Amino acid sequence: MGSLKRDLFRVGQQLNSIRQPFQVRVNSTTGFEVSLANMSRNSPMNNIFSLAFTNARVVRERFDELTATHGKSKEIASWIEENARVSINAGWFVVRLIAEGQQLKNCHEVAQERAIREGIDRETALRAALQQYYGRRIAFDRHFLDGERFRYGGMNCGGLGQSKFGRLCLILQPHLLHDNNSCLLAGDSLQVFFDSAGRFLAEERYQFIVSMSCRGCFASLERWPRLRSMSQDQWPIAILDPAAGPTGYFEVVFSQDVGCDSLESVRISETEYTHAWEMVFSAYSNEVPNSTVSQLDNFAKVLDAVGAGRIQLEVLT
Amino acid sequence: MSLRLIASKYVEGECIVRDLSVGTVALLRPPYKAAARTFLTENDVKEAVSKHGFHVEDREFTTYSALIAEVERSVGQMRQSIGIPLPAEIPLKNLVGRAPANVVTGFLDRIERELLPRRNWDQAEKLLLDILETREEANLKSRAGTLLRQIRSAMNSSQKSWTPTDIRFSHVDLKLANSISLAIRRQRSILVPSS
Repeated sequence: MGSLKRDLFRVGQQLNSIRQPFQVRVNSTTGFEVSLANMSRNSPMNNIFSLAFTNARVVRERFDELTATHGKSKEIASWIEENARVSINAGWFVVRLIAEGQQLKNCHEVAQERAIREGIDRETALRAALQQYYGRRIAFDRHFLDGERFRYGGMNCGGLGQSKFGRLCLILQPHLLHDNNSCLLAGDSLQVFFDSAGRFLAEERYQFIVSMSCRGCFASLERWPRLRSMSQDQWPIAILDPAAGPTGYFEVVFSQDVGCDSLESVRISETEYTHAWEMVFSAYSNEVPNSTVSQLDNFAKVLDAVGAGRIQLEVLT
Repeated sequence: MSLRLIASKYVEGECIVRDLSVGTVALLRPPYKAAARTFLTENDVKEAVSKHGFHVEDREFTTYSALIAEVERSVGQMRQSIGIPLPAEIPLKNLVGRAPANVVTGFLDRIERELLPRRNWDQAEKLLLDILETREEANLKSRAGTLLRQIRSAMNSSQKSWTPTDIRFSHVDLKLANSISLAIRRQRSILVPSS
């Protein structure tokens, strides 16, 4: 078993070194078969990661033009390369489930679970959950190969991410995402790929997808007008600005599973952390409502995982 | 007032509400204080539903308290339905055991500053016992022990201050009542301990 593990690790290392998207098939007689991805741009099931890889060359050329005249852009790009992480914002319950060994679920997987639980079909569950937002989500996800496996995060160079809908910020291990399982979009996919009337623009917007290895060039190019006059301590907010809405961040689309082992840390604001302990103190005297019982139960489970070394909690002041 | 619940995420106790009288949309979360509302745009709502696990709702309420009561009920119901019901008891002792030392010091400060002057002895005693049971730090244990003695002595003097001349208590054996009261506090139950 140990030897198989070592072999798989070696294969993984070799696959990681291929600088082009590839597909792996398991063949019962010959073992693994690796082939370079060759997805047509006009294929009904486009491989988003291949498209991103193709665009990377153009982005690098544009970036080289910028650095020729503005040396600072190169410094910013290197800094982004080094400091960029992928973050996903979540609430206490989701983090608790991950702490207990579950994987992060996207809307398709949640709908699938609900369908099984309630004895309805998956599409009905998905429509019920997304309702008027069903169209955009489905148009995007089903346009791409394996789109229903996509997870969405944001490129994060420091800070709490899009904390409006999730006060905890999951930071993924940097080595998990690479050009074969992730890509970067200049903004929210549900905005970038649609016109103001809500029409899906698909091919017209492919140019806004870039591979992860190009993150430094792409982000410095896109944010150059803002970054050029900023000092380094302000760069993180130029990369992910929670107040700027759908265009204020770089969305990361990826297909990698996210579990406890995938996390570098879980960031939390000092305010939220203090608030959690405040709830603990109050719970000694008052009869607490269901929502507080639930929050404290989740908090306890997350702290158990922190105590066991499965999760690293980072309190940001 | 008319409120429309437009999206919910009950596992987190969160909901998005449109206040029809003023036209604002806000995210509410526990403990649902008005000042802690986060105002949202229509795009935010779209993002909440399509990416952050909120479910679309469409229900109207006339008051915030009716809305929050419904959310509280749904939190329990949702957890039950996904097989992770609310625990019968909050694991407070476990939480105190995992708290950083500065948080426990903060608790001790608040016991001294807020609970003792208000004579919230039960709350203070329960928290102090959990600190004594779960913490290793000598300074925290010693301070918790001192506060616990202070509370118990305050409890005793309070009970002794019932004057036997008060006609309401003339028939009560104060010494016996006091010992029963202490026993109940110690075992945290009014039932006789099982053998």
